[in-house]
Amino acid sequence: MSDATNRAKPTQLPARERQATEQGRREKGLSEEAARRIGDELKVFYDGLVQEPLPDRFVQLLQQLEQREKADKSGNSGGGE
Amino acid sequence: MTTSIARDELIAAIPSLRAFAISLCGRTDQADDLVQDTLVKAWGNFGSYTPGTNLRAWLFTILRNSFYSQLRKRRREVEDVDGVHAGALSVEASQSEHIRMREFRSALGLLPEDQREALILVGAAGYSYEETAEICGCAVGTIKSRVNRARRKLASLLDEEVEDVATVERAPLQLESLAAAAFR
Repeated sequence: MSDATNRAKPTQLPARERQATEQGRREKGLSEEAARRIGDELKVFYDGLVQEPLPDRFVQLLQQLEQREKADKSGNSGGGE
Repeated sequence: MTTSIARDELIAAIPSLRAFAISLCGRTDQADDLVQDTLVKAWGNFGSYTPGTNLRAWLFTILRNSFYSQLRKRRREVEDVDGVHAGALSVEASQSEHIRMREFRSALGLLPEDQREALILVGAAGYSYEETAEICGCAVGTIKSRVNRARRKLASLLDEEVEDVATVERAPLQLESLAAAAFR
């Protein structure tokens, strides 16, 4: 299977056919290879961001929000905040 | 109680929320403010979240809405410095020719926000076209065409030398320059 694929590589096509293939691709969009490369790089880029250490401020913020909510609830009957 | 479950879920969502924010605005400080803003809004509007639906997608929606309303505000303020941003970008690009990821970030920063966000959501954050359409408040077909255009544009930006990018992009840059400059 891979042999057949290799034999059909665009680089081995006569120049005129190759040109036609490239033009066809340009009109349709990306070559498979370019699409895969961009997809991979996009994931590397994004995963790098996901894995960045988080600033403490977010967990602290959520704790504050939670505490405030609890205080509001228990303070409701007494009228305080 | 519900609040501690909510808090845990929110905490778990922060890394990807923040990655999305940085992808959108390109600046960590601004992204962190966006995330903070999103968490406060989410906490205050938890009643409008439907339990059992995708919490992360709900948070992404809040974040992108905040981003666009801030961007509209900011654009009015930075219109005058577009030229400066474009100039700085080309200098930066020529210094980093050999660093592929840097080129990639620059190219990504040159995409219009709507294309960039669609590409990130579908291609990196793992959302389907349908979920992405819901997050962005538009039709599935629109998302598909944005993703396709984004891929094509990225490919052409990356295949050409990045030095060309600033000149090529200068004309239609107005809407993009803020985010583009931030990706340096």
